[in-house]
Amino acid sequence: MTGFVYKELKQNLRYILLTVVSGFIPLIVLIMFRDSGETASDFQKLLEIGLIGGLLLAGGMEMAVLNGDDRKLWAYFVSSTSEGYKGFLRVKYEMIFVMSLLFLTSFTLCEQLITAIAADRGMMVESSASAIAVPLVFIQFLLRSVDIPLFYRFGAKRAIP
Amino acid sequence: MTNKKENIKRLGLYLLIAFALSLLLIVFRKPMETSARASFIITQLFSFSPAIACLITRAATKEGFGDLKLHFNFRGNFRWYLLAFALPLVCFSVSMLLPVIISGYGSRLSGFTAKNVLSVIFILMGQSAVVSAGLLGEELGWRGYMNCTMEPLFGTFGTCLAGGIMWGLWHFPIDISNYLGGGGSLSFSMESAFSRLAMLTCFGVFLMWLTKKTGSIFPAVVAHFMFNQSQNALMSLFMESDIPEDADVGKLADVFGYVPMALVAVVFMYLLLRMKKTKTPSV
Repeated sequence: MTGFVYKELKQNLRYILLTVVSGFIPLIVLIMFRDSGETASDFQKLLEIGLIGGLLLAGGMEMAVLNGDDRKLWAYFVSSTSEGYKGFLRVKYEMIFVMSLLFLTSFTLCEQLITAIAADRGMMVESSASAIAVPLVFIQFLLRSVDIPLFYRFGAKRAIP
Repeated sequence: MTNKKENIKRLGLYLLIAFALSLLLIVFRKPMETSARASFIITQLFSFSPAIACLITRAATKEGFGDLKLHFNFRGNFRWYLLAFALPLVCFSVSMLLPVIISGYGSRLSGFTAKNVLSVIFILMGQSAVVSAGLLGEELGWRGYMNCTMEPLFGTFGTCLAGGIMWGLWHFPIDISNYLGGGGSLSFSMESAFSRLAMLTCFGVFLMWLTKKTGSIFPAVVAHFMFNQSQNALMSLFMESDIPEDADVGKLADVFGYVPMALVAVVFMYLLLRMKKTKTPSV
């Protein structure tokens, strides 16, 4: 494992794991409120609301990984590597991209499991939420493409209101 | 223990775990028919079994997880990502469209308008960028571990052949479960299994070349996704065309079904062997 990837994993493992968990928010809500979900539309609403909530949480986690590098020590470390600042930024972008993929994969799995649970209860739930999730993830990429350069140019306090 | 013995042990353990998990589809067939939850869990275990086998084997043999080939390696390799996207789509387009055109139904392809084709391509591009991540469950095992362990034992050609056969056989429970469930005949299931085995052996050569060329399994993930989805995308365009349901393209469809993939296998096998020759210094 190269230096930057190992550094990012060690620093941000909790945020990466939370991103995976955010894809399972509909399932967590279903387990917490076992008596909910009497009709297929209840499950559908749970999935759609869970998608929005999970996406917002995942977006927060993606921005959280940008913190923690503002200490001078990290600047010295980055400058001392052969890849330098460009390599540091590249790995950051790749990690945030992978976090979005992890969210989408975990949400798709969650949706399939909830659809299966509904089917066992005799209800037919359309698995359309993961189709909506794909364009939403691309909107997420668009937002990150604006956030990240502003963050590194102006710092956290000015870039993120 | 010598390197060869070590590789045999690793390969054996990996294949044992991967195939044991794939047999869950047959063993738990009855619970899967009665419970959607059981069906979901067993299907996911099956889909991720090569990756699970890879991680367990690496942990058990203390190889470590340093060379999982999980870097994207975009620099200098973006064109190979594009090739991974385009080649399966082109192959299936040729294998499905040419028999229809040669049989005289070319004028009936009304679903293949520029707008429809472009929208299908853009949807596939978007999906391959994000949705294909689920196929890491297979590629982490096959290209990320099995091929690397097989090559010192069987050589490049042997790995492509044996690896492709293993990959095809791993899918066998899918083909046979329909027959065991009472649907379809045994001969149809076996025909489907052998057809898949041939196609995957040929396609596996391309995936192995992609992985070795880029040092990453992600291009193979994209290509695998496109192998699965291209057929669905093309069928959706055929459904919008007005080809008669009783149209018979005869043996052409059977032949053209295999020719493009066989050509891909020959070309990329040659490139793999040439790659090996370039890396091996001559004495």
